[in-house]
Amino acid sequence: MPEKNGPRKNPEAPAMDWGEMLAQFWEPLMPALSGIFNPLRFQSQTDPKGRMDEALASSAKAWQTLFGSVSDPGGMEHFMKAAQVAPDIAFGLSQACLQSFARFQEQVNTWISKRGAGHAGLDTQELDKAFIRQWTHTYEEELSRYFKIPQIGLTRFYQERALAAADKFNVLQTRMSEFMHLLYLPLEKSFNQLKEKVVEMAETGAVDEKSKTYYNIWIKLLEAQYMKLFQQPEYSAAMGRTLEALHEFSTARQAMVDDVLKIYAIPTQKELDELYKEIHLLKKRLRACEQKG
Amino acid sequence: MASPKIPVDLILKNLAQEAESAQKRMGKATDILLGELDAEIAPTPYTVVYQQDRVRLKHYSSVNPKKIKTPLLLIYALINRETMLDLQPGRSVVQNFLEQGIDVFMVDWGYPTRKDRYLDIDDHVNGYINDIVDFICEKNKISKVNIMGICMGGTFSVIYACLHPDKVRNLITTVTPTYFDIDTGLLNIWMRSVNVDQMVDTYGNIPGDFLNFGFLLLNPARLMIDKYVAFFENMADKTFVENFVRMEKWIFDSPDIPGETFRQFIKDCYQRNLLIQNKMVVGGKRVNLKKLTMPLLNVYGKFDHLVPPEACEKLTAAVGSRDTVDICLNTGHIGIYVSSKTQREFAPKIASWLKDRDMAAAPGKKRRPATSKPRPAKGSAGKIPERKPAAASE
Repeated sequence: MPEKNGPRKNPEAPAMDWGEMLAQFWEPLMPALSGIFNPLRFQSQTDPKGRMDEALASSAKAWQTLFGSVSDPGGMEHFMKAAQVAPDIAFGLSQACLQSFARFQEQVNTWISKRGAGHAGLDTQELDKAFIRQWTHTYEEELSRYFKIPQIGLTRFYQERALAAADKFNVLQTRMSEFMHLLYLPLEKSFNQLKEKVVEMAETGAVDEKSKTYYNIWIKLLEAQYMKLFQQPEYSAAMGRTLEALHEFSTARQAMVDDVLKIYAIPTQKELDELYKEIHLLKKRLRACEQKG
Repeated sequence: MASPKIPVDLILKNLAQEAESAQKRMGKATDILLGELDAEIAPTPYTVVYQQDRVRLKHYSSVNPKKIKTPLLLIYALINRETMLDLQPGRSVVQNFLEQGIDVFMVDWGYPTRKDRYLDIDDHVNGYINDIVDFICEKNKISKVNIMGICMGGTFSVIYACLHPDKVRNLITTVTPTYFDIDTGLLNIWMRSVNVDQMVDTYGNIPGDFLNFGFLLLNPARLMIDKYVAFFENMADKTFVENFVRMEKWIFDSPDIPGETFRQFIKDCYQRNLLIQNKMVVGGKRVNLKKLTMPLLNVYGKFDHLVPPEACEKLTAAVGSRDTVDICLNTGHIGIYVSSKTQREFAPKIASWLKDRDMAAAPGKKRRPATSKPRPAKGSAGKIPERKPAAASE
């Protein structure tokens, strides 16, 4: 809608004025900046012009060209057209991002539904145990795969070893959670038993006013609970899994450390072990020779 | 139904009193802990008479006259340190043996480093132990020594005695596992599910702290809670604190175990139970228990949770010796060596057993025949399963 008051102004005019002003601003500054960033002390045989000066001059020139094109009526027209299609581009980009996110969420839902499928009638008493188990499985079957994506480029082997160490560390954490949870259960059970015992004592009038009495009862209950737990194959299996995860993490970490040692020309553990083995075998042969002699 | 009566007022009053006494105790404890403590372990003087690599041989000097001619070599386990046998005056197996007139040598396995990871049981038994025995024999101009093995050191002693029966006059095994297929010991149960190859390949040597953590897990209620509650309650007692610190020093002084030795010990013994079946191979030779023909005294603890009686008691029936004695004491794995009560019977009993056989072995002396009926050790569980008639087996 045309304006009522005054002649119809060109809408690109303020932008053109602004561009012209900026171009004029940069023009006299260029030689001045060149003087500042081109002192003799920064010059060298290989770089007589001065890299800083060169980089600054080319940047200033680029700005000047850009603002110059804005001040040009034809250039401004192109610029404004581009600005009109910008929302479409932004919408397209955000749509792609949202779709990726939705796909990820869908994947997470699939993991969760897969994990929950076999536990429809789960006992609420077992929820904590089930949660740890499910988390372990989710990590090992779903998330762990991301640490195993093939690496590319010059540093691919180093990246792979670092990712392997991170993955094994995460596996160790999940196994440790399971193991520590098992170790915690006797504490919980013994406290519950102690509460029952106190009620029983109160009912029979055998309440003792010394706190040590209750401690002694509790420690015996706790010991019994641990002994019961330690005899269970479930505990041995969890301990075995935790140890295995610990060893795998130690090995992965050592491989990463070996990379660093190689950079500093320090013998790795493997190299030293080879040497120790040779010495050991030589000593054995020497001993056998001495015995024969 | 009448609601139960709980004397809340009394309980609260007691709690207040306990808090007050704990505060007083802490004051005293601060003085004790900041003052000078006598927490030295292994105080008996000794001389290092032999050394090979990390392994040293200690010889204890004694002012007492020798009553037993043949020296006694003590072989400790590779787990923890031999200082437990000489923990403090009054609680020292070594001192008790010296008082009984025994000439005592003891193997100090030292602290294995990474370079020791390839040492296996053969290196320890046919290498270090054999060299030490040769050294003692040469030094004392004798052909045989008496050996007392402790725990895993006892298993090594049994293997050594089978492979070198001509160098052992009498063998004493204490809390020595030789039968591993049992379900009464948690270690036996756990070791079956351990991937020992992965463990050794990962660590090289098995870290001592790693094993110590495993031992603490055998009874967390007592070893990780109750023990320190007791310490807190007795912090104002200087003697208690000193004894406690001594034990802590010993318990957590854990050298690493050479990887290959650990691998073979766990696989051949804990997982396959080969020793008792005469199927274990050490240094290319089969260990045949029937070749263990010297007198054998087998001592173990009734309440031992690490090496239960079931793991020890089958040895005497499996060996070739006809002079064997089993003694089951009313104590645990460590109590045999550090309990004052057990010490009163442990060392004299061993000394007397050795004396009988030392005299019999001396030229011109006749061995005293064994009594027809076995007698239980004083204060023991009364378990002496069988004693075959003594006869010269060498």
